[in-house]
Amino acid sequence: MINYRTPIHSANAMDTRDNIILDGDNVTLYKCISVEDMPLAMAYVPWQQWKTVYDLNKALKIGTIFPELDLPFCGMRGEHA
Amino acid sequence: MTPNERNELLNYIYTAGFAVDDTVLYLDTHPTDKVALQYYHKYNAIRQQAVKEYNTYFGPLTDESVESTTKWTWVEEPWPWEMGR
Repeated sequence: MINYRTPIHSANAMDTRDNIILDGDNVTLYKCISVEDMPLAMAYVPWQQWKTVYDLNKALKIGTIFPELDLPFCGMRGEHA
Repeated sequence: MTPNERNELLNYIYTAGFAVDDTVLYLDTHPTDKVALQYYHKYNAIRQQAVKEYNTYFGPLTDESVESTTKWTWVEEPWPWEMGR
């Protein structure tokens, strides 16, 4: 079955765009398929990549070191007043 | 060292420890990510050094840090509810 991280050599989807994922020593070319082409009823989680992280104090206050995971859950931001 | 310095050091252990814990979660799904591994080793070393300093100046931070074979030094330190005094 085609999923979000199906490697290019086994992907066979229409309307694809190529993405290079750097994973340690392995450089893998993944074919990311667009939402319209994904099978229904499956849950998809975008693959996280290491980017710039928060400084230590901000990370502890907010509850994550990852700015891309600093999201407004429950309609409230996690940061203390 | 003063109580202020104790709190400062403890706070540093908490903040560095949190960054390490969050990095562990990332590494669980990205075990060969070199940048994440470097970050882990950097802040884990910093955290361990801070814990070591805490143990030296303020006594055992956890029961695992008790070194004395003649006295259970763990009970000489303030209990968590006494830390604010």
